[in-house]
Amino acid sequence: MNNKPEEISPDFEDEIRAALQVPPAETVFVTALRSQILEPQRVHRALPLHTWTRRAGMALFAALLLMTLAVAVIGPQKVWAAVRGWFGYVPGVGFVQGENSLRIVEAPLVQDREGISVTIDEGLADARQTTLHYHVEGIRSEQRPASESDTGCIESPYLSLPDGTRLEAGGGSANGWPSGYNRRDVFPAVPAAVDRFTLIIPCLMDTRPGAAPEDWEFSLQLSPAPQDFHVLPVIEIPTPTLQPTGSLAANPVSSAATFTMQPAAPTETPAIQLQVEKMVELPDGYIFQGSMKGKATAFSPLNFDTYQLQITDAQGKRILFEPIDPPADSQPSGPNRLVWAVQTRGKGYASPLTFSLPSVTLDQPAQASFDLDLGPDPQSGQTWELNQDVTVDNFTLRILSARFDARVDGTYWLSFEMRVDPHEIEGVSLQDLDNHSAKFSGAGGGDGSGSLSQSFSYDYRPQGVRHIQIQRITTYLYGPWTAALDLPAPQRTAEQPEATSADHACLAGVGPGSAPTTLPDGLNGWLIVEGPVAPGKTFPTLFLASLDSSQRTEIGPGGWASLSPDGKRVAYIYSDGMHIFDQASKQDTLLAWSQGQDYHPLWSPDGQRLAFVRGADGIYVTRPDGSDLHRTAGSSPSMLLSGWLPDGNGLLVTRLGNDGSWLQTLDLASGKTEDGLLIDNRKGGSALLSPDGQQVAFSEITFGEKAYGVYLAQLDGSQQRLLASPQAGTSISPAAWSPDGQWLLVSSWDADVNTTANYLIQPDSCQVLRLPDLNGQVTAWVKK
Amino acid sequence: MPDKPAFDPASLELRQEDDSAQVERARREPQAFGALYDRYVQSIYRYLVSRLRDGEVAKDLTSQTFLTAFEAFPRYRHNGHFPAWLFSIARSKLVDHLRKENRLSGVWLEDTEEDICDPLHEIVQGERIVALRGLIEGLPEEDQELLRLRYVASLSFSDMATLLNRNEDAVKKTLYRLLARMHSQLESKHE
Repeated sequence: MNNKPEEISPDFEDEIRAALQVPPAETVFVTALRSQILEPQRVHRALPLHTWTRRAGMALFAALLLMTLAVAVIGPQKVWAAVRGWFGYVPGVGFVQGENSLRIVEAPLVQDREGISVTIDEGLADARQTTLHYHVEGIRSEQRPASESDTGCIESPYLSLPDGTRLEAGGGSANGWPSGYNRRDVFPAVPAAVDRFTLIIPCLMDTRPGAAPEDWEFSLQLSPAPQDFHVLPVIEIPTPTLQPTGSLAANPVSSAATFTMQPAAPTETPAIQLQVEKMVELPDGYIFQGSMKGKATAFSPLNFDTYQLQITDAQGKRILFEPIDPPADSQPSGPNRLVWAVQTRGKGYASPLTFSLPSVTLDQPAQASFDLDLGPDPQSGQTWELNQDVTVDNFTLRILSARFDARVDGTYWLSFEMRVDPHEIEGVSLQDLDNHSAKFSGAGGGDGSGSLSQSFSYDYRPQGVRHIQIQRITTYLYGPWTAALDLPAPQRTAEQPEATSADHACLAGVGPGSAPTTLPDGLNGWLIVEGPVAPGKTFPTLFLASLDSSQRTEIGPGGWASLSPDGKRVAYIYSDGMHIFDQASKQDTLLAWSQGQDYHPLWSPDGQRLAFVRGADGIYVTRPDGSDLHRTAGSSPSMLLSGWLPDGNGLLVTRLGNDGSWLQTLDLASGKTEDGLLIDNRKGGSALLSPDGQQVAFSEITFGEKAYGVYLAQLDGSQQRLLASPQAGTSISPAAWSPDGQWLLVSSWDADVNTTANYLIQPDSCQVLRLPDLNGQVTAWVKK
Repeated sequence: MPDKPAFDPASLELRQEDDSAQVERARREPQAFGALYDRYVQSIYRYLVSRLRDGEVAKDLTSQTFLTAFEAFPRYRHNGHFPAWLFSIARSKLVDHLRKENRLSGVWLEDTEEDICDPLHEIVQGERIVALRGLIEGLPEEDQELLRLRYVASLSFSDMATLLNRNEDAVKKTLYRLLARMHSQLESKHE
């Protein structure tokens, strides 16, 4: 139906756009936010929630013992520093301040209303802030927003003091699952004279207005922390050993490219110091916190990825760590100070430890431009060989070429290929200052070898001479900067094993072309593959392929494809519901009983039934003709489907919850579930059960690595080992077991170029093979 | 006047179709969320800037929007309206921010030209555009919102309807009536 009046011409709509025109976000911001969102810690986001009030055996005595030990090892003046500042560390809370002002909330407190319980688990108030932990359980799916357009409750909890003062939450974190969530809210400090206040929760997160009980009120009582309250001491470390300051692009190395290198200009070198300032001994490892310090004027645009930090023990052994949020102490990051904090897993390192940072980056505005004449009518695919050197702040980059593309979504893109010295320049940001698009996007990056690309879009066809400005340039500043730390002997042994390095994986840091491709005799089968999305299509292109790619049958657009055990039928999802494709007849059938919310069909081992997920309703099982269609007993909206048990009498499901993702077996007859492995992955972990039902492959963050790894374990979580760890910039996940269970196929997706590489791993021998001709995600592998 | 953007409404529908594949992929592979981010980050930012007239706050709320969307993504039940879902989060963040700032109504209309520091802005200073901008700023907030969602955020009518919890035809009619009224007022000013 089109009600558009005649006077509303496209020209008038264009004028509206022009009147509403606002500037696009800078590429630097867009790129930085992208990295922040997709950083592994956030993708991971499944750190266990510690408790601090009921931990047995955690006495002040332990803290005093550690402090006494620290006096013996690192000298009394250092411990004095710790006591004077009185910073402590409380697992699950972070750094606390104020020796005599620590107060705890009397907890737990529980309220039940209409089947939903809210539990105040713990609370702690110090001189700086008040932290509350609580969790909610029992939210029903009908209380959630019915439509994606409604985000439900957005009102934040707050504290109400007796004098009417309202303290709003200024930070915190939350983890949700289908029936509930936990939440940590950080409020401003409750005044010392106030020992009773009220927590108001106006509404429960992600529930529809009025659908769930609202205006929860908890009267909370603060009491002085008991003598046995568990606070880990923070050891402040005096000025460490300082090493030389850095130099701008100190190691320029010529590359084979034809760009013109100019010697780095004698730029003033900021004096930079790496310091380790604090440490905490945890039950499982250590927290180290430090900073980079430098001149204020030169320091503010400096940055580094905490993963670049290298920590080694006295024997040169690499110590794995994960970056954590630095404590909000009295000296936060500022114009001349960048704070970092890391957490290790393991103890017993040979002292002293060496902290080393090889380089940092310097991001600064640039003033340089060049012109590109697109002519009156640029054509999609048209390229211009430029080979033009541009000097920016004494660095030279070569603009190799430009390309114009008209995309099916109606946007037009200009892409530039550039060459820089990879030891000098990390990235540049280009912009067409005359681009007045209402819609605007940009992308760019480099491969680390000096090739940079940058592209940006127009929502109209650009033409004529374009004035391209280099807006920002990011250069390297080289150290290394190092700091040494005498590590006191651990007060107790670690409660869990030391983190395993990704170097021990069968497939570690491997990129395309670096694994053999010849299949052993007898290794074959049919694969179902989700290839790239064809232009104008909604779903990926599905195809059947033999393992050696010698045979291939295209099915068409679809997703969530499952291959029947005999290899004859493919069940898959399209926008109108579930389909079955018959390989012999090439007949495609929409299953009349299916619904648009159905996804993830999986064939039973005997090929007679299909299990699938029906929206938020849970897991269903049916025969392909729709007979015996039923929601499985014991199913819940929190469950994802991971596979059939080999006997066909049960399913392996993944239940999302407070702790991460629990793998469970679900008995189809009784609906009874049994817990298996807990996967430290809040998105489910793509668990795959081996054909014999004994082992499970899954995806989980590798401690100390900036990426997911593929792990293998017994169903109960025992014998866990890392099988595959990808190279930087790619993500890897288990895709399919071979029919005999001897090989695991993993898919590695490179987001930058949107390509998928597939590898075979034989877990027993650690043999790795690459499947070279499959650009797509494999979802099933059956006998040929 | 600058070049007229060759805007193609069909591109909105294409974008919506393409989302399905990306949403499905992101459901299984969190890193694939990046493709959805790339597709919508500028729309979200522009929408927030157009409401707030403050680039720094818009950046902050853009960050919050995508961080929230990423965290909430496992609970997103795809109904073909991913942009509507995303913009509903952005609008929630906006309301939250305005509530804290005690500026739930009115203030964003008190815009000054100086607040917008954008070289592109200088290009479109034609008399007619200035008049049109004045007209828009005099509109009730709900009418301004319709214009922003369509012409700043580039949402399809279908997504707008989902976001606003209204019938698609009703949204279309309302917008076109609004445009017709504005067109008429603009023409009368220029007669």
